[in-house]
Amino acid sequence: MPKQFTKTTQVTIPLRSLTPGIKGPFTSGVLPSTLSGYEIDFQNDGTWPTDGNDVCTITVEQSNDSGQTWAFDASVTLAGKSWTTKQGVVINTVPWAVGIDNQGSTGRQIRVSVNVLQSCTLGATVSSVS
Amino acid sequence: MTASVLQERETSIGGSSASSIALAFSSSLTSGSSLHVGGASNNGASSLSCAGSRNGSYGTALDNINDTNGNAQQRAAHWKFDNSAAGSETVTVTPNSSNAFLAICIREIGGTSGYDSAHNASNQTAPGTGTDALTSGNMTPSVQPGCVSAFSFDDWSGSGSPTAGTGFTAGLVGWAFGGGSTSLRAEFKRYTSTSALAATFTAINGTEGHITMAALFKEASSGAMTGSSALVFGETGTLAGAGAASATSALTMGQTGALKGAGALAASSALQFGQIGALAATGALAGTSALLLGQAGALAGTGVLAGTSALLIGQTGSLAAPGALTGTSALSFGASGTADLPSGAMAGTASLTINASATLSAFGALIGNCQIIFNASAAVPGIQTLPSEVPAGRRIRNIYRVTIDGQVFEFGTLQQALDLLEQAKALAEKVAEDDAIWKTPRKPPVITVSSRELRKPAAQAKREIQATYDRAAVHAELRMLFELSRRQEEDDTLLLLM
Repeated sequence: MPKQFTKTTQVTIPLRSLTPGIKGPFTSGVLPSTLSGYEIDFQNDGTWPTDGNDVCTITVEQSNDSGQTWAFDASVTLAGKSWTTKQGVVINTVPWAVGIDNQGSTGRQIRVSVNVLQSCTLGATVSSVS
Repeated sequence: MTASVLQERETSIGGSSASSIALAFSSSLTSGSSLHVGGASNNGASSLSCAGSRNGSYGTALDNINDTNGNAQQRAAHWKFDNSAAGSETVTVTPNSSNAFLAICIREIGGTSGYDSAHNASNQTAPGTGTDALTSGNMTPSVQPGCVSAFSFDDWSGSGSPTAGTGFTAGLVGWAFGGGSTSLRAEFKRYTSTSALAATFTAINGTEGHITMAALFKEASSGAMTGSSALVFGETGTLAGAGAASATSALTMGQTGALKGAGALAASSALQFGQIGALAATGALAGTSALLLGQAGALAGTGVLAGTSALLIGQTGSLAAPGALTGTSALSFGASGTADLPSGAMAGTASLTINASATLSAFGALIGNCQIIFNASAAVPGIQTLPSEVPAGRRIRNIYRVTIDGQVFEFGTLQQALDLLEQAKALAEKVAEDDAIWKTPRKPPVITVSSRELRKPAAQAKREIQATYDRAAVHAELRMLFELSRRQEEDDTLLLLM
């Protein structure tokens, strides 16, 4: 990720209650060829589980042929603990940033799937970064 | 091939606890590459582990740094993995307990023969912004050339990624952790000395803590030899590589020299191996090849020697190859050299010279013009001589023996023995024509033979001679009866006249 970057919203997943199971995929359009990364900003409504168990796994796949074929790109598994700053202040928005090292693709798309492991309320904004 | 970073990526998450974070390399890994991975999490986790989808566990972390400063509370570690398999790879960092501010940075290093058993890491509080003030601490390479791969990041508030140290090539920036700026810098540097060295960076915010981690990797020596090449190896010289030697190559290997490679030696090649020289390769020697293998030299390969080949294999040399020797081949084996072509073929014009107690055992085919010379007590097991008109050679001699009424006749060829049986049958016919002989019954001659090939002809001759004798006996009896009858008639006539 460059120190200074521009985020452009590509996909919005409204904040909503999710029951266990796989949700999505939520697919972007073709992303800029100058893409240097993407960011997914997660949102909760303050009712996030705090039992310490895994809540959901978010998986991103990438295509470089305008959606004909897809390959795993990145994933993160969120746990049942409050979201906080390093100083311990509770927050309801957390960003997940992923860098890209192969700029120049003119057919790049990403799609996001959420494997909900326990009921939660979650929203996400998927943005390109360049 | 010069060591270099082939590809690198990073990802990080902010204040949500996560139990794992995973990132895929953008391109397939190159076989043999080394991987260098940095990971981080809030220091609520006491340890981090790292594994790849293709390569498996990356083992114990090289360093595990815990910054307990109140502003940081960050843990970081780095791992290496050598001799990667080719293909896609997703790397996952897992804290021993879910924690926030999880991050991973992955690098593929090509042109390396692996980690050089040297690494270091540091946690610097308020390092200042002086040039190269951030340092991993010294590491001492065991060999050169090699390369340093390093990470450094502001683990406090992420005020900005450090810049690369003097002489280092800047790599990616990343690990924003949800803040507005990145905090991580990766870098790389090739070195050509075995003197101790450190990975250095320059901090953007000199008042904040930074963690720096670095590892050394050896530069590989395999590659391709093009053009005219002359290589001389020492006592334990080895050439191991999946490469190609094209054009004119002269390779001299030492006492235990070996050429192992799934490659090809094209054009003109002169290979000389030492006392225990070996050529083990799934490849091809095309063009004009001269191979000299030493005392225990061996040529074992599933390959093809095409074109013109001159192979000289030493005292206990052996040629064992399920391959093919085509074209013109001259093979010379030493004192106890062996040539074992279990399923191969020697086509074209081949010349084999095997000395002393050498052995040629072959279950293949010798096609075309072959000159095989054996010396001393050399043996040729496994070659069958047909019962044909081929005269016996100097060492292999068949004797065909026919005994007729106790008289022994010996011949060097089967035909001569058969001729004798024909003569016996002809003689029996002549004997049958002589009336005087049949005054007393006669028995046919007793014929015995020494060889299996003569049994049938001998039995046939005996039957025919027996038949001839039987006919002759019948004729003799008829003549006798006729004579008796004639005499009786004469006597009867005399009586009438009286």
